[in-house]
Amino acid sequence: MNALKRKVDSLESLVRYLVEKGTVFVPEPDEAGTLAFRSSTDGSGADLSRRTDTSARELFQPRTRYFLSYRTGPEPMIEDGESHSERRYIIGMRGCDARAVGIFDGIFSESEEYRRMREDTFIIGYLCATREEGCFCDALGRHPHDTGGMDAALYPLEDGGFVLMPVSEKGRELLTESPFEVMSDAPEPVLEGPKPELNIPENLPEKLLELGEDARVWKDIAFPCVSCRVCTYVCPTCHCFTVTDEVMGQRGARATVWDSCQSRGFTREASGHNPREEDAARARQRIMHKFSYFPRKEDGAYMCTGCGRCIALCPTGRNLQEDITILISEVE
Amino acid sequence: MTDTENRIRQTAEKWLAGGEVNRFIGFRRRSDGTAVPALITSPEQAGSLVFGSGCLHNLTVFLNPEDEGVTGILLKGCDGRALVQLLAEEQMERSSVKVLGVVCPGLEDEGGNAEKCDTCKANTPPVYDELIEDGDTEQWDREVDDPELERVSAMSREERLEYFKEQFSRCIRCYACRDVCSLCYCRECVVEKTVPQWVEETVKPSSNTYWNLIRAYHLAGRCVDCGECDRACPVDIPLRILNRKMAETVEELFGFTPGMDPETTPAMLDFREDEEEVLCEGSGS
Repeated sequence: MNALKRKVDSLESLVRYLVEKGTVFVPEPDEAGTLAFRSSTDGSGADLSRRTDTSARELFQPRTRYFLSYRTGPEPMIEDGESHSERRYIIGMRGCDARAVGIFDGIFSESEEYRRMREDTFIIGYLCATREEGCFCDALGRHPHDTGGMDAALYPLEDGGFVLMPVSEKGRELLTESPFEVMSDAPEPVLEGPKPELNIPENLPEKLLELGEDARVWKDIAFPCVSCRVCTYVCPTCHCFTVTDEVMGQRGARATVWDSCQSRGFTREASGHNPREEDAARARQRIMHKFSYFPRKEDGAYMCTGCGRCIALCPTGRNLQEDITILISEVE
Repeated sequence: MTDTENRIRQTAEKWLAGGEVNRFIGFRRRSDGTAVPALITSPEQAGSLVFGSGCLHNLTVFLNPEDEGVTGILLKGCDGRALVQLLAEEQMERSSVKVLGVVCPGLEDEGGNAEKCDTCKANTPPVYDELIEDGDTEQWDREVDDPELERVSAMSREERLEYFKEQFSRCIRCYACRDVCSLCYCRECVVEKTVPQWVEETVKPSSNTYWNLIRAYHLAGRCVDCGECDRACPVDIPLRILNRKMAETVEELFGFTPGMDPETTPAMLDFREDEEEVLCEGSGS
């Protein structure tokens, strides 16, 4: 295994090699400093020093996708929206992000378009050198150096270069045909930063269900929530969407757009009735979906990978780790 | 615990114990030191209240006119201005809120001194029931040179529209700017109306611009520059530049600064026959 590791002198050299084969995405800041996965031709702006502010979700589920357009009138027609796929290399997704793609793979398995896009996508992950503020993958039974979901993985060397190691068969092929030199004496990846204190009991999904929707704790947890969508839109596992029509005279188009269970309108029915009118009901839904409904259906897998983005970016300081801690003490 | 914190705790405890308020909204610190909004309902909880670095949130967003009884609330100067504007717009009954004002020393965020404090127009809330002061009570009226605001102000109309379009192209439509805003209190926001659908839900530069400009216009002459939208934005759109530019314009045109005096009719609720027709096409820059 070790023999197949290769030395990459710089991220730029990796990007320049891959850009010949397809579109390359790297974590790159925009002018305001927001770090996100952006396409790059030379990797010069890439920044692997911290987790991206927004997750890689938009590369696997575009924020907006027009999937059909139509025309009414004397010559009506309907046609499918663009659905092309291209070879893509996404560099720098961390263990939490790559794991999230595994969750998407299950959810969107019925979509032929998703499958095609996934086949065309290579994930070259990054093994965290430090645990970051708010992140807690360890508490979910995982480790920052887990490579699940990746095709290959990078980790930094002291000289500024990187070790590139294969993970999947696809990744092995990619590395074998690459010009990067085999590194027989590659050091092991390092990891700094304390493990989170949070310990999640195995029976949490069942216990949460027993707690019931009228429990006072949901109100307490929900207090600072202002029902914005930040937590769900920076999350790598959230995937809810709505379908919207745009009509202009005799022409129209239909698109999928991200949606969020944290917004008040998400469950509003045509009659005006809203089964999740209260903040507490929406706070509960987000936690129940991630820590009860999903794991109960999917062999215990949480629909949270502990990336910590929702904690870092919540405008009113809600903290999922704290919420879970409170809930655990409530159900024990 | 600082002296200010001590007095906040004592006052909240007294108000809750004496039944003067049914609940109290203030700040607490999480174990990692982060200051977060806190709601307490019993005097025993008052010991958790804090004030200082990181207490940037405008707590008036948590005031709910439908809550029964009286809500006690800790307000800094900028938050107090938001309450004044809410009162002037008749969104709150003064008697439903009991304000513990704090003369704000200026606050720090992660990057040092919070930017909004550099242009503070009131570090003492214009309304309060009790005030925690620390010697100096002269009201601030701060202004600093803001190169970015000056740069944007110096642009032609077309350039400025391009500048903001560029900024809004990053918007992910999470609506955090609206949801943390005390003055965005519409029960149903125009962006979520579906019959008819005024703003397209699709995320693209045109609809993002449309959404952000609608919100900006709705805040013209109302925004008290608490800076919450700017702080909340996960993709760092410079919303304070937009809001301050508008505040400057309203001040120039109508001599009105929102949130300073509940007895003054806000500019956008007032009509005077001799008013200059400045908002029609062809007016200024």
